[in-house]
Amino acid sequence: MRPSDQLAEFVGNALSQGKSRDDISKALEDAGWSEGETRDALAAWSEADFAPPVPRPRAYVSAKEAFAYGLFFVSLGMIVWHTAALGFELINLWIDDPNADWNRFDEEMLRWSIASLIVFVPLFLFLNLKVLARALQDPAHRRSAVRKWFGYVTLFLSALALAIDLIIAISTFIGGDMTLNFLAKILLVAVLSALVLLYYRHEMEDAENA
Amino acid sequence: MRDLAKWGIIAIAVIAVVAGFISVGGPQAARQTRQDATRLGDLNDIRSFVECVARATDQSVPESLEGQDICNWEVPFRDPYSDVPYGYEKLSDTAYRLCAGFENPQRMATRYALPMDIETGCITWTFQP
Repeated sequence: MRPSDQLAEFVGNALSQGKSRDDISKALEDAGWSEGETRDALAAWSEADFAPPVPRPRAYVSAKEAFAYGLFFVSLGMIVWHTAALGFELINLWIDDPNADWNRFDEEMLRWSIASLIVFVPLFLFLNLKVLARALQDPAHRRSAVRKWFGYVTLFLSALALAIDLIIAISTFIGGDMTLNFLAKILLVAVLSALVLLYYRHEMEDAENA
Repeated sequence: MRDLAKWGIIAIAVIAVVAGFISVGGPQAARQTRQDATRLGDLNDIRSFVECVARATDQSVPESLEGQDICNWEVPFRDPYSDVPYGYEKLSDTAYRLCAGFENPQRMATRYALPMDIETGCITWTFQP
């Protein structure tokens, strides 16, 4: 039995034996549980006066959700990656890079990105619609731990991308190699990662408040 | 705010796809570009051949591509798609011109920064002894 399961069971038993919440929290703190853990364990049970104690809805992990949110996560990742790759190729085509010995424009790469976007943009919109519809139907989906995990991983990655983008921009600028070609690429990555960051920040606020 | 961010990403992706299509064109244009790339590769092979002959003889480029047994390697003298021989012309002891029937000479010239005459599809190169 995992410690969190033990804790939940203990609190459930104590409540059904009529112990007060203050007593339980004192007992838990004496046993060494942190204040936060104690609060969470007590919050898992409804305060309604009913025996046996009624559990509150909790986050849960389901394979079906992992499928939907996983696909959603990958779709968004593919869209952002290939939009950036496609944008880089177009920037190479439109804006000459005086630092490059030859034109780096790669038509094969551009076609591959176009094809990926044609597949993943509709898939992303379709999944988005499905997920939104399900969240409206049943608020439990908004609490989904899978959703939070994918959400925070996305936030982590987009924040990292934005930070690295900034580092590259600053070091290139200091190195005196900031060309229009490079600046356009830096800006494209910054805008894309900022949009993802914005999207998931609100998404996670919604998940935390559910 | 969330919807704004989502549609922002989608809008940038869609604009990029449309711009990508406009700049590379459809299947027909892609085929032409690929064939032009082969032609340019062939001209580069012939260039190596011409300069090899020039180095091996009196440091001047040959009068014609035929009948050279010095640099005896596989050189593509004909356009594989139209079966027309590539054009070769000696301009001076060191300057020469190579021509091919490019489908889209403008695109090739700008993309590879070639000293090419857009009208004729001829590239002028100089042999540096």
